[in-house]
Formats: sequence, structure tokens, C-alpha cells
Amino acid sequence: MKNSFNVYSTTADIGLKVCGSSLDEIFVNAALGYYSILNIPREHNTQSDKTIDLKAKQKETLLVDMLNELIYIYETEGFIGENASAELHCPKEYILHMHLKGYLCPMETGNPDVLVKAATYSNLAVKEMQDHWEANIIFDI
Amino acid sequence: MKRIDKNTVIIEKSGDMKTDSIIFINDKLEQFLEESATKQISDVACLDGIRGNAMAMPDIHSGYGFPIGGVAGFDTSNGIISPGGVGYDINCGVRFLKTNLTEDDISAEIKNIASAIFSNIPSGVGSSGSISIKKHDFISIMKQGAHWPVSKGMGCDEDIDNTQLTGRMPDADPASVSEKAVKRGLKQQSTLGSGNHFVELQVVDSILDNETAQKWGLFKGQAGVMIHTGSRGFGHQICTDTLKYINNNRYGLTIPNRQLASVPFDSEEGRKYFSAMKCASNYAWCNRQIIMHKIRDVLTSVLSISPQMLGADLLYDVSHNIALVEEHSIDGVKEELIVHRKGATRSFGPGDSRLPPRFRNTGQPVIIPGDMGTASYIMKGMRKAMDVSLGSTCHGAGRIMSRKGALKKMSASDAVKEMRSRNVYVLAASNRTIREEMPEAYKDISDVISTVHNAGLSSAVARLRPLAVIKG
Repeated sequence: MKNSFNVYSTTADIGLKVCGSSLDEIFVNAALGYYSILNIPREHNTQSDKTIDLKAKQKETLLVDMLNELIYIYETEGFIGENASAELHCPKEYILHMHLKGYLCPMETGNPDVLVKAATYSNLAVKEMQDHWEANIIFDI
Repeated sequence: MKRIDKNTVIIEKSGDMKTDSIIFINDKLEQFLEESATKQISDVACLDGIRGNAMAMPDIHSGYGFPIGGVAGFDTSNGIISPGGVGYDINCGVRFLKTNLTEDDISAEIKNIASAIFSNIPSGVGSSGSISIKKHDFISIMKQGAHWPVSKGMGCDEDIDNTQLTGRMPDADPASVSEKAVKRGLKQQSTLGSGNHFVELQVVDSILDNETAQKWGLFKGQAGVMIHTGSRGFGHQICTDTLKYINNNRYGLTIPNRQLASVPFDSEEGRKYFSAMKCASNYAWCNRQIIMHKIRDVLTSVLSISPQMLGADLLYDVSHNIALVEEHSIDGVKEELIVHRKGATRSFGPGDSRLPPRFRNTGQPVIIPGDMGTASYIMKGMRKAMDVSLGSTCHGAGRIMSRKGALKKMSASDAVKEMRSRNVYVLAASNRTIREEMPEAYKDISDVISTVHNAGLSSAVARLRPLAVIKG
């Protein structure tokens, strides 16, 4: 599952297991995993890009904050990411600079498979393994 | 965990728990009890300032922080408030609109009524509101709740009287709400949303308490409409914002997991969240009021009858995701508590002076939606609930199957066929929702109802059968 994500079901909601060779990749793959849950096909939509800058004391909190930011941007602007790059620094706290390229497809017309309403702290984990990183997030839907 | 009686199990105080946890559940439903949900209700018992027991209703399942079906009261002077005890969908709730009509009166028009409701009330994952709300209107909605649409001609004073807390929590300060929440909520006012939210055309299938049904104007064969929705993205953003600014635990409280992040009720952060929660609650009551108003218009228009002939009166509107300041008796002493009900309904019994006069003799109406193919119930609050559950009861059937599991189990065409075989007409923004929300995905509502009825938390008045379901 390296450099990837896997969507799974809980009783009432949806979870995302993420894998990456670095912490930066965890953030990129989590973002792409979120957009895969929405599953909004690109048709003749306007190309767009977004830059996100966030910071938090813990990497887990930063991951939740980033996903909630993407949820907010989708609901209010209709932005769907196709590609992402992330730079993480940790001088005193975790600082994320993320750039996403994608397209605009407003909620009213996009008809996502599932509307993700929030990224939660439930069973939240970001772990460094021997040769890769793993994360787990559960979304309220 | 040990069984106390046929309808109750107890998890005795241990470790960091400050009190016992009680789950109202019978043997049959206990087989569906998830270990994670049991752990969650034990965690609730660890929170600071809890008074009485941590409790869960028979529709319990795993949630975020509190389990769904969780109830707990905290001392307002030295206890906590937790967004995890309210839920993301603040003031998700349900209302029942009763009519003068019978099933026979509408049977020929059921599909037309359902189609017209589906066209007039935006539903589904990507829906945005059908009425134009400007920012200054939004501020009024946050403060006035259901009073705002009524003041604009979308409803009547009786609607206000028949809504819990009259559809408005006072002292809601819009300054406590982020710009992000406002932006997210602005387009979603007067929309149904997705998931388990619905509008159902129903018929009173059987009367289970003649005296109360008569007092409330319910009769066998009567047609009505049930509406289930909440505060949409607005409430979610408020919960997300709050969890972010309270997660540093600067008060050094006992917080068993991050979804149970809490702050003292009597603190700057506690007051800010409570005020924002009031804004979202008012938004949700406004939402259900506008949707109901549109349904009244649909019914008179499709059936070509006058509002007087239709007689679409609101029986009651109840919230099942909210925290309220209430006075309760703990060990025989009256105390002011902040009562969290998450996936649980207030169930005040007869004689309670806080109820409107017309419900003071009967107890308040409690509206319990079931799954979309079986039944829903109208119940009444009971005195015993005041003693054993802080005046609370269940809120629905409770999910037992994952959405993915439900999708695997049934194709869209099979799902529609099954609903047709149950004589229920279904309209949904997506086939996926119909498959995810099939009756098999939920506990048997009759087991939940019999548990709360036998435990004395609420008492069944009428059973409602679905005729048509409009889903997001």
C-alpha cells in the first residue's frame, strides 16, 4: 500500500488509511484520498489551483486541519484537487505548505458520491514505520 | 457490564470514571452493542462535573466522543461542555406535520406529492437553498431561529408554540461564529441534505394510546409528513472550529479521547461554544420551518385544496443533537445542569411546568423516526424519565450495517423493488442513498421502541407507516 490510500467503511461513516514514504507524502495522499471519496469526475470544468498554509503543534492535528480546510474549500468554492505537493517543516511546530492543482465543480452541479462533512480525531493516527509512514483518519459523512 | 433488569445494563464506576454508565438495552438489542460504543459511554463517565449517570439509549452506536444515543448532565458551575456531546450536526431533529386528510384522500396523488416535494426542496449532497438568504438575513436566522421564517409569512404562531424551546434559543451571539461557518451555511439554508435526512409522507397505521392520540388530534388512517434534518454544513463548521480552539486542554480536564475535548461550561471558551451552538440550533429550526412551509404549499397545490381543508398542523418539533441548561433532581436535590443529548430526545413527562400548557397533562410529544421501509413512532414523555434518564429517550432505530455493507448487499434496482414491495415510493437524489439507507441497515425500530416504553422513558402513542420517502 506504499504511496497510496485505502478507503474503508465504519458503521456510520468512512475511514481512510494512508501510506507514504515520507510525512509529506502522507499529507498529499490523504488529500487525494479525500477527493477520491467525493469521486467527482472531471468533465469540462474550469482548471484551478489552491495553496494552503497551516501550522499545528502536532502532526495529527495538522492532518485533520488540512482535511477540514479542503472540505471547507470544496463546499464553498467547489474546488477538487487532482495533484498535490506538500512541504512540511518542523522547527518548533509543524508547518505545512501545500499546493493543489485541479478544477472547479460547484457542489450544486458536481453530485459527489458522498459528501464528507468533517475530518475527525476519532482513531486518528500518524505513525512512522520502519521504512514508511502510515496514517488513519475517519470522516463524518 | 452487568444486566440490572430486562431493559438496563450497568457499567460500574472504575478507573477514571466518576460515575456509573447505564445503557437502556434489552437482550435482543445487546447483540448489536459495539465494544467501541460501550467504551465511549464509559469515557463520558470520566468527564469533569458529571452529575447522575452517563447514559445511552437502545439505539446506541459508535459516534465521535459521545456514542450516538448518549446522554449526560454536567454541573453548570464546575462541569464541562463538550462539542462531542452534541455532535457535528447541531440540532439535527425531527418534526411531524399532521393533516385532516386520510390515506385514501391522497393515495392517488402520492407520487405527484413526492415529486413536487423533491422538486421544491433541495436535497442531496450538492444541494443549495431554494430561497435567497442575504448575510443580514443570516444574522437574523442565527438569533431568531424558527421565528425568522414565521415573521416572513412562512408559517404561523402555532408552529412556534409547537416547537421545542419555541424554535429559538435566546442569547445566540453571531459574533461567536466564524466567517467560515457563515460562508458554509449561507447557501445551505432550507435544504434537506444527504445521508439519513428525509421527508416522509406517512399514515397513522395504528393508535397505541387512544386518550393521548385524541388530545393531540391523531387518528388511525391520518396522513402526515415527517421532516428530519439539521444545521447542515453550518453546524459542522462550528463543531470543527470549536474542536480546534479547545484541543489544547488548558484547563487540565480529564479528556479520555480527543473527540471528547471539553472546556468548563463557565469559561470563555465554554460560553463561546454554547453561543455558537445556539446559533446553529436556531439555523436548524429555521431550516425545518421553511421546509415545512414549502411542503404545506406543495400539498395544497397538488391536491387543489385550501389550507383549511388540509389542516396541516405541526404536532411538535424535537431536537436530538443539542446541549441545554435544565434543572434536574440528583439524589433528591434540584440542580442546574448542562444536559448533552447526542442522538437522544428530550422526553419530559406529564406535570412538567416547562412544557406548553397543552402538553402538561400528557407529557411532551416525542417523535422517533425509524428506517425508511418499516415505521416511525409518536411517543410521549414519561415521569420516570425525569428520575432515570434526565428526561431523555431514544432518537431512532440506530444503524447496524456500514454504508459499504449496505451497498454490497443490494443493487439500486433491487432496492427500489424492495421498497415497492413494501408499498413505499422512494425518490432520492442518488440511487446510492437508497441502497445505503435500506431497512436492513438499521436495528428493528420496534425493539428500540419497546425498550424505551418498558423502561418508562417514553410511551408509544401512534405508529406511522411510510407511504413515500424523499431522500437526499
